[in-house]
Amino acid sequence: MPGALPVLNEAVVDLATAVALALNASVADKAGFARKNYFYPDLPKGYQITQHAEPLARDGHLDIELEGRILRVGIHQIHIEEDAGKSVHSGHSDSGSSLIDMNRCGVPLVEIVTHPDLRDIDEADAFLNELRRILVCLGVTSGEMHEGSLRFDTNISVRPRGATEMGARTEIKNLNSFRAVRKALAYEADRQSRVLRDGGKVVHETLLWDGSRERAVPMRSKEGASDYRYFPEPDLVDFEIDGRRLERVRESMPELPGAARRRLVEVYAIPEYDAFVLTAEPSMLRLYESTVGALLRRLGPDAPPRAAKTVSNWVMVVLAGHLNERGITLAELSARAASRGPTDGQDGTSALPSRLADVIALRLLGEVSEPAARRLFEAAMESTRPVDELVETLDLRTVSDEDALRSLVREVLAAHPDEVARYHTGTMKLMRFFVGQVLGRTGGKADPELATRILLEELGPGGTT
Amino acid sequence: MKLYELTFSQIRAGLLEGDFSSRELTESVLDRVERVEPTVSAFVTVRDRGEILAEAAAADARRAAGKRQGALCGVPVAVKDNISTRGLATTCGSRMLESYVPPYDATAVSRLRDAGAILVGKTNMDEFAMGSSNENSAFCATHNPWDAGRVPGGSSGGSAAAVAAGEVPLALGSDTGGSVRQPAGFCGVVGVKPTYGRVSRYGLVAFASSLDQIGTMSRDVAGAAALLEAIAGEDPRDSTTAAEPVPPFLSDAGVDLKGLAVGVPDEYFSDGLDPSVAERVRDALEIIRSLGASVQTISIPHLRFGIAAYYLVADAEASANLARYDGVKYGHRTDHAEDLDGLYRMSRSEGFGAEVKRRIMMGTYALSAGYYDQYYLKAQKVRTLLARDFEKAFESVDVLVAPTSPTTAFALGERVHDPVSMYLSDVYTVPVNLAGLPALSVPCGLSTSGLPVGLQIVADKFREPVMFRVARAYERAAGVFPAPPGL
Repeated sequence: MPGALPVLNEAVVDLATAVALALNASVADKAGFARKNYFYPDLPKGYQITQHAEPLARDGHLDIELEGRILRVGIHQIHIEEDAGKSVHSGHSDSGSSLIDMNRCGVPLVEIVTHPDLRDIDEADAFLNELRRILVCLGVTSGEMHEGSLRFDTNISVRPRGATEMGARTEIKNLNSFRAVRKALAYEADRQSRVLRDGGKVVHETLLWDGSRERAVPMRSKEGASDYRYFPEPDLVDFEIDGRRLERVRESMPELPGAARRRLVEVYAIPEYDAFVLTAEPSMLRLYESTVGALLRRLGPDAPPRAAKTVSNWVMVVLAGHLNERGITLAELSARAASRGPTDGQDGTSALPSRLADVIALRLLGEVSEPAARRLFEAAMESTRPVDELVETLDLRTVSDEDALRSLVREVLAAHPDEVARYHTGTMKLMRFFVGQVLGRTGGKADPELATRILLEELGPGGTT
Repeated sequence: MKLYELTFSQIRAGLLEGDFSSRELTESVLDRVERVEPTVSAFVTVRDRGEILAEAAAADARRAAGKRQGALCGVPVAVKDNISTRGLATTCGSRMLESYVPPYDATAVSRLRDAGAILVGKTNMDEFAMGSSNENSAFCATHNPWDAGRVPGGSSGGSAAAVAAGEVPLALGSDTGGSVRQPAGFCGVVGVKPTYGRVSRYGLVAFASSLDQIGTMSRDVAGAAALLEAIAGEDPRDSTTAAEPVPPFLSDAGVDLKGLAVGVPDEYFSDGLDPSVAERVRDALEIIRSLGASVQTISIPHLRFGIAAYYLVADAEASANLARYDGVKYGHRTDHAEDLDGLYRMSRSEGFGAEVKRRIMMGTYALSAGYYDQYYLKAQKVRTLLARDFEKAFESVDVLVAPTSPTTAFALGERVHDPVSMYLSDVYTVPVNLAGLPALSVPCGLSTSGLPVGLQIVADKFREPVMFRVARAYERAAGVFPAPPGL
């Protein structure tokens, strides 16, 4: 509206400062805004408020691990700006109409500009993934690319092998998934290579990725695109980020994914891969650590050394599978578990980790078999009753009565004389068959280790041909 | 004496004593509007008479009931047409916004309403506040109440003319390079441009954001001060407003000027100054001296670069501020466009007048790649130098006193085709905006040709009280300036 004025959203300064710290950038003592002038229907003021000469932070880097090596990606600058609106170009080209969604106008965003340090698509992908994890962890964005709350504009140039100067670059916009980023980079690298091979010149321009046709098309050039006539924004005053503010932001920052990964490996002795998966989302990491905590409290000094790794397997495989099958998020499952009643955790939201820990504890104590444990987990997710009660109600406790099991083993062996004979003549792998038979007769409840030991005793030494 | 002829001080006393009601006052004012508007054309929009009188009656009822009332309770006020008023057209004197009705009040307007003021209407102005004569209004020229063949000054010429003609006792204007003080001087009224950041710009349609301030106009110093008190103060909606507390701008202490140091900048009395203007200003300085102030000559060495720097900075900011009028959302949209570029080009070509286009082109040029350092940046450096000149001056004096404009009101049409001579009429007012200082213009007599002369008083940042003190002491000694005869 004529006469309307902008006001700086202070929360954005804190969030952008957190991003700058996470990316090892140096935060300016004093920063200010500028107007970037151009005409476009989705830019209602005719200029965008951004940072130009005095950005919030400069000169950072992010180290990412890629196939066992460390790649350092330079961060040129980090700045705050306002979002423009969204132009929705109608599908019917003959109607020639475009719609403008102004809801996003003036919404603050943080822009991160890297140096040209990425050499191929995998590097770009690994960098963007790590960056996304950091931004989600800091609570700066939900990370949902299809919602536009995280957007990547990629710049790409190719050059002949051995050339020292970088080629002319093109910028690709409208990338709304990681997949689109990969596709678009591959498309454009290929296109530029062909242009150069044919003796042509790559034109510096902005392209729009068309996901449905999988190609990048030149954007309608913005008026005066080459000259944005930047000048200091007179409607906003410069802002300061003093040492106190910097310290406050630093103290409020959560543990970053890289540090969390190193800590998980060190504290829980789980593999790098597990640590990587578990730190993908802050909620996943919290669940993992709460579950390990609950498990160790329950098992006390009897906890086996592999307890932390077992929890990791459960979270990554069983729980992830459960979410996948139902198409729900971890947050939804947690909320459901919490709403299902009493928790024995401290914060009222830990129903999920404590129930998961109960299931895993029974498994680690050998009181339920693996298949029984999985059934117990599913039941525990659908019920409010204590896990220890469920195991009885559902009759899932392992048959560990050695005499009963021994008589079952004898029955199995008596029923399969041929297999026994083959076992004795060298087909050792039949042991798995016998174990399966025993487990089958207990409805999956027999302790497979115990069954194996009794089978070995009853069968006597196997063939050694 | 008719009620419309009263000064604000007389009105405040009369309402308090019950000598007359707000309704009687407002009726008198509205009758006056009807009588003189055909000659003066100060207003773009006058609100419905019935609604205005109903508000006046409500103010009287409040007063009668002994309820708490605002400082401006029942006082009619006019508002320049670039200050947003909810539900009331705000045209900025432009075809571009001819049919634009704001959905919100500017902070200054909502504070006026809170103070109990009665909004009479919206006053004419140079398009988007760009001009010094009101001849750049897209609708009509406003005529000077002292001589209908002359301009009222600009860009707040409508507000100045309305106050001078007795159409309202108080009015708001806006001052980017002298747009309150110059027309106040031309029309013989008091006009105040406060310190930058003193009054919220929220709702003021922007011309040059780093220079714009809403200012006040009145027949007397007390009215301009009371109106400013009502609208001043920090506003969370305008980041450039200052957290400074708003003191009473006029205290009764110090009816004389003993102990006060007044500086007279030598450069303001140079070649272009009309001798009869110089004479009136020197007369006023004698009165100020006789009230006990010490008067000394000081220097603002960079004054001569002020106009050049001002037109670069102001036009650069304007080129961005006016980009929003693109025919897409609000304002004029052409009927003749076939594509997007055509929509922009035609809507803006049809919607803006010649002066606005000239300024947008100059501003765009000054910001363009390759020219930025040479023009915009250099202008900003001049701005810093000018601000330092004033800082230095205020180390030894409390206020500066100088002419408001080099001449008295010029004839309609005289400078329309000579933009540079038009720009030069702001030579004494723009340095104050560039430095962000408060200043006012108080009438100091008539020139040999019988036209009002304005005396400019400039103070250091946020020192409006000392500026008002000098102005009122002078006004008391010289007498409240008369209304124009024979209108």
